[in-house]
Amino acid sequence: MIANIWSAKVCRAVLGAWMLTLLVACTLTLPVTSSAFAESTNHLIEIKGFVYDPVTLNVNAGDSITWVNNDFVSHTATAVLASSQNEVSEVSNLQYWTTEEILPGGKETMLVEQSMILEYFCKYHPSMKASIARN
Amino acid sequence: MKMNLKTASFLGAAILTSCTLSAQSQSPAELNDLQIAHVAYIADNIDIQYAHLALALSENPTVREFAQTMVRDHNGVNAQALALLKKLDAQPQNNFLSESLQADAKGIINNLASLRGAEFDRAYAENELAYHQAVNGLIENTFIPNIDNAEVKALFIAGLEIFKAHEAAAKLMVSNVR
Ligand SMILES: [Cu+2]
Repeated sequence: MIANIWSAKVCRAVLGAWMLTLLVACTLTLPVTSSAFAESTNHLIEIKGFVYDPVTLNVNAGDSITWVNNDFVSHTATAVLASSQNEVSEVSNLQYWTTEEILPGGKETMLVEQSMILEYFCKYHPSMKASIARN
Repeated sequence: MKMNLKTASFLGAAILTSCTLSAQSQSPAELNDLQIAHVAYIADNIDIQYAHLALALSENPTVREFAQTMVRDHNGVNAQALALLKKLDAQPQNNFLSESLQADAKGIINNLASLRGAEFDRAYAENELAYHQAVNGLIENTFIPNIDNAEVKALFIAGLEIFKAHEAAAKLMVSNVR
């Protein structure tokens, strides 16, 4: 009985301290969260069976994309460079990008830039294709 | 061009020979799981050997990129296969098909090694396409329907996906070096 009362007091004290911490933490982090991070999302793309899933992803500049490789061979996500002359002039302002080798069971993350090329493929298996779409 | 045709028919003949031989003596459909695993392991290593030859002899970026992928992926598949065999506490078993594949590969490697430049690139690309088509057909139509162990079967289904991507890449490479 005595032990119970004592532990209840301790509990209340601990709870109080915890809530105070939470309050301070919220006050400190809330403005930062809402201004800088609230609108950026980390999108997940799973590579499985030589397919990017989802094959088309809607993103905003400032978001990040993480490719997770669940195959047992390596892949990449690499911007497709336009091949024909017309396309080259059309996309010349767009930015080339590529991930490093994404090892089996591994992942690679990339920040979405305003001017990045939207079509991408796997450098190792060119038949694997996907795209990003900017909102 | 003449050389190219000669090379292509040589490779065709090699693949045909192995088919004829197997039809006459033993059938790939009668292999057990451990023999099938052995064939796959040999087939993987043969393609790695072709790739190393390409990395030694070719300066074509498309060919080199493809060859690097073959080394990377076939090593990955082999590692997966060895891990499964270890888990099942099983040893792959040598058999007539493994031996005939190896004999064919020896001839193809000798022929490829005698070629240089664009001629090598074309012959390598055409052989990669023909080889993946032949092996994929074998895996899809003969091995997968006949494998008993569920885990071994799952590995071959995943492997076939990989090799089909290689076949598609080989097709691109053939049109690229032509
Ligand atoms: Cu890939």
